[in-house]
Amino acid sequence: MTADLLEVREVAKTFHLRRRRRRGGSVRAVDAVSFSVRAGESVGIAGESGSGKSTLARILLRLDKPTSGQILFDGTDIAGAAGEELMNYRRQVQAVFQNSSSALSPRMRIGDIIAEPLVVQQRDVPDKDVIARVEELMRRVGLPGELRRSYPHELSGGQKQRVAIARSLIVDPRMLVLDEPVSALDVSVRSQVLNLLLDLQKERGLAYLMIAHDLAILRHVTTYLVVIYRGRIVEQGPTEEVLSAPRHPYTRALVAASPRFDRVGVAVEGVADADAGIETQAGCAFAPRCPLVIDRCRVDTPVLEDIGPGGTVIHRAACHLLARPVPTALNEPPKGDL
Amino acid sequence: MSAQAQPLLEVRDLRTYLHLRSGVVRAVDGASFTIQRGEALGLVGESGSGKSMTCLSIMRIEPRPAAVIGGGQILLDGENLLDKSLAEMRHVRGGRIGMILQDPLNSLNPVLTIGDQLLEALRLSYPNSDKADLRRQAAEALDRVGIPNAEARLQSYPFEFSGGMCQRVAAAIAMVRSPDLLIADEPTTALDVTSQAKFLGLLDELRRERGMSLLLVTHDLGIVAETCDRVAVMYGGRVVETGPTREILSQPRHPYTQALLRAVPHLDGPRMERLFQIAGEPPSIRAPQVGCAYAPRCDFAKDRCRTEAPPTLRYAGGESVACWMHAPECAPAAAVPAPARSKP
Repeated sequence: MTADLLEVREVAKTFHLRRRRRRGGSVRAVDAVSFSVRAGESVGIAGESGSGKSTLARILLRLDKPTSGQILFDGTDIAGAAGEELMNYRRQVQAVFQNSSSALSPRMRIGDIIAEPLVVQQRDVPDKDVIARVEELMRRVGLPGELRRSYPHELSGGQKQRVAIARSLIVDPRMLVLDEPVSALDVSVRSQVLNLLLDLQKERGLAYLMIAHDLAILRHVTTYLVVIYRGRIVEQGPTEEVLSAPRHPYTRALVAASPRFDRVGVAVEGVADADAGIETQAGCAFAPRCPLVIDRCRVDTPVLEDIGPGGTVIHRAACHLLARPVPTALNEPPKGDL
Repeated sequence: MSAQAQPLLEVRDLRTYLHLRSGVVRAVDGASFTIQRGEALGLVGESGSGKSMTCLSIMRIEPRPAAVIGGGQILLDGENLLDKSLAEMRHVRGGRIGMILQDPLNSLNPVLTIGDQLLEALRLSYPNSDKADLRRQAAEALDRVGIPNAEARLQSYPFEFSGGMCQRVAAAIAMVRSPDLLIADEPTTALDVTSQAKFLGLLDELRRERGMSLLLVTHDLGIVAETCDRVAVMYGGRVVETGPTREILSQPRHPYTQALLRAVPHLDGPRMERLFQIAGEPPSIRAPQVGCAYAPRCDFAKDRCRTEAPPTLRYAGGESVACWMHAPECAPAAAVPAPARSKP
């Protein structure tokens, strides 16, 4: 049995609102999220804007502290880590963000940007070795060596994302948090970067935690998928299983709404639009948009229940209607007031 | 020459160049396509392919003075928009051609209520109507794009709506004067997938209901598959392939279209181990183009592709392709199959 590299246990993050002329409410941006990532495994996190997936990424990178819960890395809880311990964690878990234009300092040269994490982590590495490692990584991610002295603005979007990847790898991490790593790239460049990420994973045995809204990309990269809605996990399971036989109405809506090539001329009916309110309410957060909602959904918050055959790989969903037969397609126009 | 009725819009050999301090950028460099009445055309391309500049040129809101339309024709019902004065264009914009932009939060005025913004558009059409009547029409327009409680929401400001709702408001404003053509430039890029699906469904409904034409600009071939009758693929400022959506997606002729389709992961079908990789980067449009813009990245490129621009070849089914591989004098005796691996 492979041990979990990262285990997230009941992590929650609450933000308190301070608004003039309004009582201070609070938002549970992330609520009771638990999942784990094994060494060398790719886990995907899917959800729309406002689902809390980026907050979760920030917490896992410890750019934010969780309000409660544990984050076990190699068995050690780093949820409240500081100083040396946090530094050590960050050497092992690195990040690649969506917009590499703003992630790379405009006033630093590419070589220095890539070297920076190493220089920060290990001050005593001789310059010659740093340069050698930078050059080796640039070669590996497909950047011409002469770009070492260039500035980010001289690079294309794809090249900048390669710089971000090289930079994350220079400290030899064991896991990368990839927050929408290709969504800002053009299609023809996107496939290059996705292929590179998959190759690097194989070579280095990296674990990936990939956050994306594009289900097809998550299907391509990840083996396990966590779907979150309003900060809570609504479904989690093996990627292929979750996408081919989604059990939660929200997952089904996401799958149905994703554009496909084989559906020429078919306009898809989606679920109801998201309402603007962010404050937590009773019951299932998806209830106001759910085509299958029943009375119980509005009062009683569903918990994650095991579905499927069980075993080591779990597939869970949080819905009161799991016992009911699965509707064949959500493409059939749902009845009710949508 | 053609048996078809006159198209609603015909763009012929459009050239829009940007004169910058650093040189001339050939943003649109000989683009041609047509849109029939009631038809939805998907204009697909990567960033820098010239698709947005084409739309701006059609509306004559290209960023002057840097942008100069140096050639070609934009025929709306046979009338060349490039010959029109700016005053005349003002009636075309909004009246005959409506436009929806990518980010509704940027295209709507944040300090005016959406009612005011709708009324502004309505007043242009009905200068003599009284205010109460216009307000009623504004509410109807909002209601039509699926905004609940429309009457009351006229008082709302854009920030009070979600992204999907804002885009509906933008659509309501664009549609309020019943244009013949709606240009939507990446209208769902800023939206979540569920809002995107609903918004595209709405566009489709409105188009069918009013017999309007749609020019949908996108980089996502999946969106095109679901909403467009025909597709035009742009690369390096030119349209490299056009045709009915079904044909383009199943039997693409241009190597670039073929590569694009193989480069994206799919949600169904067998999971690909590796995605097809297009070498290199989209072209720099600064240098004057010699030969085919895609040649440097093309697996099938031959000497001729690098020196001479390919002719646009037309087919019986309404498809066209600009590629030497398909030119009669270059093609093998049999018809060229879609993804030909061997060099002809």
